[in-house]
Amino acid sequence: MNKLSILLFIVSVFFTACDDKLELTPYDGLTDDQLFATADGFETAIKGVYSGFRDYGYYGESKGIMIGPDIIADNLMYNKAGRQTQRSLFEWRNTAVDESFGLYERGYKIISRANRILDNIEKLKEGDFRNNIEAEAKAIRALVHFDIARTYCKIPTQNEDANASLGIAYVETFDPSATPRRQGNTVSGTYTKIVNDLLAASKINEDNGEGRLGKAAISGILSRVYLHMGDYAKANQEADKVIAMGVPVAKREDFGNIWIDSYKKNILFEIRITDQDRVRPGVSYSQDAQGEIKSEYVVSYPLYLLYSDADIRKSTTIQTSDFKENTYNHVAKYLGRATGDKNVIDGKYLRMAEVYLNKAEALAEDTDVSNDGDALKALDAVRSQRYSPFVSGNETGQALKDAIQLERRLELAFEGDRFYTLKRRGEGVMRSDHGEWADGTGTPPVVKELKASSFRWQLPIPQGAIDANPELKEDQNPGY
Amino acid sequence: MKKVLLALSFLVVFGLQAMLAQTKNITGTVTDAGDGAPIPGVSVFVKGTTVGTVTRPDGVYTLAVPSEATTLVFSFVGMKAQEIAIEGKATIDVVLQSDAVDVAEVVVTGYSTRKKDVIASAMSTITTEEMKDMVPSTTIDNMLQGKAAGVDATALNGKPGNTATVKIRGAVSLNTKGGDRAQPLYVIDGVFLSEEDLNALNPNDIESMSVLKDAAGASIYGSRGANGVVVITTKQGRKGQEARISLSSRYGVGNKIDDPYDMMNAAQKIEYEEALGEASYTPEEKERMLGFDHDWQDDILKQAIIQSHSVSATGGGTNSTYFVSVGYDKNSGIVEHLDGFERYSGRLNYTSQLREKLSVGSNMSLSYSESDEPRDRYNAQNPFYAMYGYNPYTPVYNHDSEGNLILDDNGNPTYNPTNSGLPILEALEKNPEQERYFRMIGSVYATYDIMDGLSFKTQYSGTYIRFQREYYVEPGSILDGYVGDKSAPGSKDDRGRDTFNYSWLNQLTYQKTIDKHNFDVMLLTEYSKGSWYSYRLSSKGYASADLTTQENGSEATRATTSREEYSMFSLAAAANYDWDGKYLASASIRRDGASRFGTDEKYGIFWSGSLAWNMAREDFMSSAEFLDDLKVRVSYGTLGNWNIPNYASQGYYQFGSYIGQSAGIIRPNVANPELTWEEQVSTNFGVESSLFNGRISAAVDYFINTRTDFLFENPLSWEGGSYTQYTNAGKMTTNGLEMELNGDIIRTKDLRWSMGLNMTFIDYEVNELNGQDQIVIDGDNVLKEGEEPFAFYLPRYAGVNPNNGNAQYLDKEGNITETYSSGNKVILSGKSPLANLYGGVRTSVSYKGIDLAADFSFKSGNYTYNQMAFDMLSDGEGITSNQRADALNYWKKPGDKNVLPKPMTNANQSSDRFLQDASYIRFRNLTVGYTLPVKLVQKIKLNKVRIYAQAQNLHTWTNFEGDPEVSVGSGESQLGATQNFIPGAFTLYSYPATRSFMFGIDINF
Repeated sequence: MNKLSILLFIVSVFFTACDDKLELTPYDGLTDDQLFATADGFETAIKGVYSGFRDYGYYGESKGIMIGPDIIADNLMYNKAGRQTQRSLFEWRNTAVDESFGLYERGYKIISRANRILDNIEKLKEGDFRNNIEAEAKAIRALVHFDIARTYCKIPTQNEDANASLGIAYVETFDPSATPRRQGNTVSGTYTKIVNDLLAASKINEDNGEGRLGKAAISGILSRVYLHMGDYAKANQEADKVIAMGVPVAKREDFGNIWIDSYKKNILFEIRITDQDRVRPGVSYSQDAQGEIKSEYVVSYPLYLLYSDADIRKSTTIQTSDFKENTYNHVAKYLGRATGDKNVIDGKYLRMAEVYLNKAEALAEDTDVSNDGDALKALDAVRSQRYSPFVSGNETGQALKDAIQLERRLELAFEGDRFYTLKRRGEGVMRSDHGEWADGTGTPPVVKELKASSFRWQLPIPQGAIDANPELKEDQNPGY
Repeated sequence: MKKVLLALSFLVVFGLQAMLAQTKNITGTVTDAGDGAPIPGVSVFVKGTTVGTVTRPDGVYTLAVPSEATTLVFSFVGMKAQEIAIEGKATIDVVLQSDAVDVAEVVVTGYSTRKKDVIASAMSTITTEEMKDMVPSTTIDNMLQGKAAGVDATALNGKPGNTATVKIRGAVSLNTKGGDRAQPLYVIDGVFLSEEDLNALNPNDIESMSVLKDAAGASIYGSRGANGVVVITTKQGRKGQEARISLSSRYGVGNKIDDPYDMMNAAQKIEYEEALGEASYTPEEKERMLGFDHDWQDDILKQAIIQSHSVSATGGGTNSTYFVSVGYDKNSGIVEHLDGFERYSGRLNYTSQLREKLSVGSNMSLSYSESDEPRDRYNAQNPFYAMYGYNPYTPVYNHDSEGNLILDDNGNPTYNPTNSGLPILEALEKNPEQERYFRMIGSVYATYDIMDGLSFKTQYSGTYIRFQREYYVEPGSILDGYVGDKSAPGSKDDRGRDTFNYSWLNQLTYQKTIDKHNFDVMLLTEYSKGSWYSYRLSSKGYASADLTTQENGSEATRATTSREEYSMFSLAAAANYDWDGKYLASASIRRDGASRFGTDEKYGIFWSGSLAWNMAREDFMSSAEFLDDLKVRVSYGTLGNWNIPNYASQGYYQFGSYIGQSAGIIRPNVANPELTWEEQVSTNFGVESSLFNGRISAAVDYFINTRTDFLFENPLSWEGGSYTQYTNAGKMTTNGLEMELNGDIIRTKDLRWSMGLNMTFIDYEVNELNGQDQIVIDGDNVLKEGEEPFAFYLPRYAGVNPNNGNAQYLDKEGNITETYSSGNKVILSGKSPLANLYGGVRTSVSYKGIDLAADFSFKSGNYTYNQMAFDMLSDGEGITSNQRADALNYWKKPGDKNVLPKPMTNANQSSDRFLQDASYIRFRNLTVGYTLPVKLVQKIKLNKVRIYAQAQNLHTWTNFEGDPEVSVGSGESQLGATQNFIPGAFTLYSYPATRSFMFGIDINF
């Protein structure tokens, strides 16, 4: 080899530039342009929004709407033999650092996913498909804002100054760098936006299939929202719309099957969860320990006593059984399906029974058009399917109102309702001295009373949110 | 030519020997300074004559010298010749120093090797000789602790086989996601290696390590150099050398280092529970519970058995050289039922001169390791959590009321589920997790000498890493009861990853000396590509605990694969110049393009320049004969950091599922098309000196490193959806002073006492945060302008109110309050997990065959949040778990002082109460060795035998309540890709460090 040829070789090697090899695209995803190029892409994206509910805040493995509202109120009793989860929430010691609810963070994440679809919606041609996707995205955006608002802000009916008090940022575009303040948003302003989005969602399909919102769900949610706003007439109207669609209350013989996911007709909106999702929402309540149930929280003794033996719910939503040396009244709504992983169960956001109870309450509480007769009818639509034998109490006036509240508590126990119902009605929590064991003995709760006037009805804005958005510094709820 | 002369001289010597008369006999042994082995064939002759001989195979010579002879000359190929005055002695033993491969003089500086005295950059070099005295470890980075100025090595945790967190000159990455992103670049024989793969390397194979600390040294590595570079070369054979075989073996035991506190025993725990009203036991119950009293550490931990064995052979023929080695390491670890870490390693380094100008070579290593993994999480699935948390009155096994063991159907005792519900001993046995690594690291290269001084090298190097992990929840195990499916019991999870990274380097080097001007110039191109492919499979439904592969599962529950790639293309040039070794100058430039950055920002240019002046070579210094070298140097340059995830600049939709159908989910990290290199500007001033023929050496360096555009995963607002974005944010300055001093205090023929000290003082400051006020990381650490990075951000604790026993805090203004509020968090200036001073001290003494070495490492100014103390002194909050015995010392009546707060109040809150100074001095190593007399070992045909005993981590001086050497607090909550990791931020039951005692033997023949 002569030197010249070697030099040429070297020069050629040096200038074999590889610049084009620096553009590498990931294997694990698609850009917006790729995804939103087709209608199927929008479908995929909307499913991604729903999957966000399968997480803390809603139906994850701890915290959130499926257990928090029952812990912080009087339906659940802390079990010392559990893993001590959420104890600070139970004892009303939760702080901004240990906020214990999880909804603020994960809720806004769901909203951001809905907004990204809405930001791209123009890429779809006008028509039913687009209307439906837009409606679903707006409805989800509204219901999550609603849940954040009723958790972290006052509820309009809670007391007189509630409507004018601090609301939450209502986020309507996908902007991860946005740093909105709460200041400037009132509770009433927030609820107006919630209602507007839900009304705009009326273009939704009659039925979008399991685990997704449809027309009945939108009206059902609206009846709930209006009840929070004290707009009883509209709450009643929306409930009627759902009833007109023919959605049934679960019959007595079907009731137990709801909690093993083998009866679905009464469900207006739920988050479907499969074993493959590896999320076991029931773990928030209990785990199986060598064939026994190890509960984090058990049914509070006073609530347990409220279920009569004639009530189908006593045997289907409570399981009285031993764990180690003691007997407990375990919550049986989340133990899991007949087959498959334990504690995996769909997250039931709204059932028909609530719509009837919303209607009953709206009619009974509405001072303008007091209609005890129709209220009783709506109440009995639920009650008649729970007790055997069933004889209507034919209550009126305050007795009727009380009966509605009792039934609401019994029917919706452990489904994330109790705290919000007490809160919106301006009532306090008074726990009993009973302990965690099935016969009411055990260790009594450390703290028993949460006055209606306590600042703790408004959960603290998590410190993490304030750290990530210093604009919120002055926007923490009072008391924290 | 030299060889020919030598051979001729032998002939002459032999021929003339017989003719001599009037002589006396001198005898002696010639040994190699490197390994102490006798050298056969050394020529010994009387200076100025042709009278001489050669040493026999045992290195011994006997020579009849004329009475008028005054001096003997000893010479051997590849060794420095020595002249020794006879002075009437009858026995003259000689130790020859290696000459051609003199590691003390020539150091590897990355893409080239240079003589040390003409290097104008700040670097520390650790040679084989020095490594011999280092603390033996399965990984080389752990051995670096306290060894080189500016280098801070902290064991990740005590888990066998784990690597260390290595920080060069306080390199800090503000990007805390996915492990420590400020680890140095490791280059092993030209192959780039990541820190987690360092434990593929058998430390016995290492010839030398160079730590490139300033821009002048590291800038040639461009975008990967900002965290410093550790260049490691492995051993090579020598041409014409007969095979030398070394055996090295050590064996010993290790135990967890004792805690500086006691846990409650059964009586104390019962007392505590009753005093706090949490429980009341009947006398019978108490008696029974007291009968069970035990320390869970005795049940969960065991003594580790540590062993390490390696064999190597090195040598060469006329045109080739080789180094081969095999090694085996095993450390059983201290956890009951687990087998710890085991590694097999092998290496072949080979060179061959094919033609006069063409040579090829290859360095290849293989290693296989497996490790039983305990869970490293914050609950009782972690044995180290369990051993503190379990109550002392809870027995390991269930007992009936008579006190007899409750047996299962097979007659085996049943585990007591304990207060946590999970008996860890059962879990360790029945929920096994094992990790395995197979790693190939190698390179092949060819060099061609184009013309005098000009050579070309092309090298292809690669690393292939196969990782496998198996995790089995046996059917019927207690954990299976919690998480499993009744109808399909048991579950298995298999994960694996194949990683292949390669680089192709082409390099031209030109060297020229004209008169006293020495030049060298180097040009290179390098293309690197990395990729990995991973899988994860899960299934459930197992008929028996003995069936552990997924073919036996009844239902698959997960099957997923993923892939990633990166690429980089670089052009670089470097030049060095010196005039007679007196005036030195060097410069480098490198342009890197990388796939990880935003479309328009893919290229970065990094450069450096340095000047040095070796005053000792000046004529005016010639009177100072004791001075070998006195070098003043200055360097300046830029370096980059690209340690971010492969697609960090891109934002897109990822896909999960909803009801079994595809669901598009916005990636948690959003796009930043402008994302580019983090840049560090490094300035270095240094002075180094060597005195009295290398008897004393010292170096002092002052450095200022300014990082700008640092890469950071910025957490965005929760209202916007809690996304993150990689950004180039702000500016940070690190400056420091480091010094190294080594010297032989006594250096006589038989006795040698040497000492070494290195220390580094560092200051850190965040200068700018891109307009952001502050960035809080995981709540308790903060980045803020004017503060040390990761300063603690906590409410301040103000002791116990002696009147009512309540815990007191300071509000933001500094007023005492009993109301705890996280709103009273303040930045605790100067208190961060970063040390402001660290270093090491070593000393060694050898007297004849006996050697003794001790070394200490220290760290100061670093703070660690002691979450373990928080848990174990929880003021009643954690009463269901065991507590420290001193938890009993709480406030009981007004006036009580020096007590813990009254239990069950507001005390158990995150504050600076448990933020502790984690400064320490650790007695890392004490070794006593004995080298058997050469004459003795030769009788059994060996060259050298050394036996030694060694103790590690004998003592630690610290005020920290626990082990202060903290890097990982809790593996499963810090080391994931989306988790934050600030080394040393907190302790949380990670694998503890051990104290070990070893016995070892080294044999050469």
